[in-house]
Parts: sequence; C-alpha cells; structure tokens
Amino acid sequence: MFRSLTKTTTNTISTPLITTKRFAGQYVLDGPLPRRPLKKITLGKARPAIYYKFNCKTEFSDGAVVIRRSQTPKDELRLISDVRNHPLWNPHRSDLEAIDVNAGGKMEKFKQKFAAFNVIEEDVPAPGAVETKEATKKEQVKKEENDDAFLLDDYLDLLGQNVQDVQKGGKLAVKQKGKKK
Amino acid sequence: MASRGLLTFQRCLSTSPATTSATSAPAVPLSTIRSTLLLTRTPVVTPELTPFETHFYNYQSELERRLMWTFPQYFYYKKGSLSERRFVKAQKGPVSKQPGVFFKKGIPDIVHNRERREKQEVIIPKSEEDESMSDFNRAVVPNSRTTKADEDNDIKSLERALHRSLYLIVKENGSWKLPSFAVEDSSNLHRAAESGLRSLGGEQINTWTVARSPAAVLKYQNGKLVAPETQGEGLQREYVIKSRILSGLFAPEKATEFAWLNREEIEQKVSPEYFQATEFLFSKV
Repeated sequence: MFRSLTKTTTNTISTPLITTKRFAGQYVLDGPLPRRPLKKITLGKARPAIYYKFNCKTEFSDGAVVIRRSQTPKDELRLISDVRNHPLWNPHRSDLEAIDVNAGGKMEKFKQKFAAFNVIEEDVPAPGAVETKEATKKEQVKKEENDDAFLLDDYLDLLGQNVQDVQKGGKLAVKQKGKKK
Repeated sequence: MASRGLLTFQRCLSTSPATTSATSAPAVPLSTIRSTLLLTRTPVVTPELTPFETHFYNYQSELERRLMWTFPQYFYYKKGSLSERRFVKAQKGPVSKQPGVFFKKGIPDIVHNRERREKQEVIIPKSEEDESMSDFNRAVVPNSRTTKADEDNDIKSLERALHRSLYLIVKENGSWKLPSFAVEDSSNLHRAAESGLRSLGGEQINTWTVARSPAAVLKYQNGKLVAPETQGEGLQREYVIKSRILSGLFAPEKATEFAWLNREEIEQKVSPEYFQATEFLFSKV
C-alpha cells in the first residue's frame, strides 16, 4: 500500500488518488506515512516534544566547570578523562598519558590472569604493504605452527583433564512414569 | 566557445600580470618591511550578557521548563530499587485533589505524580556533605568569572578579563604598539613574526598562526603613520600577522614592558593614530 501511495504522488496531478486514508476524520494521507499518528491539535493545545532535561554542572579534568543540559537525572558530573587531558587533543603537552578507560574491566582482568601464557597477538600488516592473500595465509599458518610448538604444547595435556562427554543426542530427558496402582 | 572559456581560466590562474607589475614597480628593500604580530588570547568564558539578554534567556529557559514533558522516573529508576526509594523520598509530592476541599491555588491537575499546571521540579537525591567525602565526591562548584588578576588589575597576566579577547602589546621607543620584528632574510612574514616573538618573549609559548597572509598593513613615512593605500618611496611597511596563544606565557628576559589588553584598554594605551589604523583588528567581544 505504501508503494502505491508514493507512486500516486510522483504521477501527474490528473491521475486521481486511488487510496486515501482518513485520520481523526480530518486529514487525508496522500504521501509517505507520518512520523507520529496525526491528531487534531486544537488552539492552545499545541505542545512541542521537549524531554525533561537537567542542568548538569560538568567539571572537566582541568577544573573548568560548564553547565550542560542532559536527560540523565544528574546535576553534577565530574569527568576523569576528556579533551582537556587527552594527548590526542593536546599534542604539545608531553606530560600526558592516555588513560585506558577499560582498566579494571573484563579484558584487563583476563590479561592479568593469563599474562603467563604470553600469547603473541597477530601483527596487523601495514596498510601500504601489498600482499597476496595466499602469502598472508601461509604466513599465518606458519605463525600458528610456531605458537603451537613453543607455547601451547606445554599445556595441551591440561585440556584432557576431568573431561566429561557432553550428551548431544539420544534421549536427554525421560518422563518419569507414575507408580502403578 | 570552449577554447575561449579555457583562455579566461588560464588568465585567472596565470601570475604574469603580478610579475609584470612587480618588475615595473621599484623593488621594495627588505629592510623597509617589518612583520607585526597580532597575538590574541581568545575568551575563556562566555561573554557578559546585557540586562535585556539576561531577561530574554531567562524567559526562554523558563518557557522550555514549563513545556517539558514529565520526567520519566520509571525509565531511570527501577521499581522497588533502593535508588528509586531515595529518589521518591527526595521529591516534594504534589497536593492531590480531595473531595469536598477548597483549593486556594486552584484545583490540582495531577498525572503521573506531577502537577500539570506548573513546571515540574525534580530534586536529585544527594548524600549530605561531610569531611569523609573523597576528593572525587566533593560538590561541583562553578569557578568564579573574575580572577585574582582581575582584582589586582595585573595587566601582564593572561588570566584576566576572561570574557574578552586580549591582545599582546609592547612598549617600543616609549610608545605602546603591537610587537613588530624585522624580516632579516627573505623568509616568510609569519615565520619572522613567530621567531621574533620567541626571541623577545622566550620559548615557553605555544602559538598558532591563523594565516600566512597578513591581515593588515601599516605604512609609515618619516616615522608617521600614513594611509595604507599610499605609494611612493621612503615607506616603511608593517604587515600584521594574526596568531593565537594556545598555552605557555610571554615572559621577556629583557625589561620589555608588555601588557595583555582588550580593545578598550588598547585604545587608552596606544596613540590615537595607531588605534585608528589598527582598530578593525581588535574584537569587541
């Protein structure tokens, strides 16, 4: 139906609208669907869509305070890292270090726990370097083999410990029969 | 037609007219050219508002507050949670409609725990401040718009008149003017200005040159300012290069008098002829 409507609008005026839809007995829809359901807006009842906003006093990392409007129920916000102390925005300052926002997150915990395994991350090839897919594949295979040889072999036997087979097929659950009377 | 269009295009691009005029006009010796630096400290805080502007913005913000939708409490606070209980406790509940009661301020019209005849005022629950609060939890207090440099009227400080653009002027031969430097080799004007600034005021400054081309030219004849369209011999030219200070400070080793001033203060310091010639360079904001 939507298609037919758009077609009629693109056609010349002489072709009459085949489908017209009435909303609230007032409006004739002859274009694409409206964003909101049409409602008759009487005099003095017009109300713009303004969400409730708080005046949030935001303190930047360098101590500057600005007031921002925000829908979040907060009227004070203190930023730890922002453009004022990020090296990307302050290239002339040598005393800055990029704070890792995810420090203390899941990835950091994982890395701490398994740092001893020393898994070498794959080197990302430089964008300028032109290599065929096969060559890169071969290299990857080689790398993996090397990794296996040096690192993973020592821990392979750990994988087999306390293993219980997972039942993948067959009868998983059986309905218990009631006692015979 | 096409070839003609191409011809005009080429004419636009060609530099031959400029070169011919350069060759026909007498060459300007480098010693008569100086590079002047218009070093700006841009405003740090918002401009001061006039009473009318204050009323206007106040009216607009109050109107917006009145037209705002009801705060969707259910969206931000999960029902039955501790945070919801704290939030609800902090609110001043509206007066609800009771049968047989006369309401002096009109009959309450309450939807979703909100008086619809007025703007909604949401109070955010806060724990009371005490000394045990860490540095991170202390209240956010906006900084003062006036600084200590404003109180002391320290015109050498960069932390004064935060709402205005400030310009660096120095005292040369007993008169205040924008710092100007000789163009020694045939390097660019903006390089001469930037290196001159560092030789005068030290390396501890970080600036950004707005453009390589000069913003204005000041012409002197026999030590007196003349109109910029004046031609002829014996002219001293000062080309004004725009630049901004990003960080650091201007700290001359020699006893050079300098000041960071806004437009009105510059008008009082410099000579009237000099201000008339440079007036358009200084911002009113």
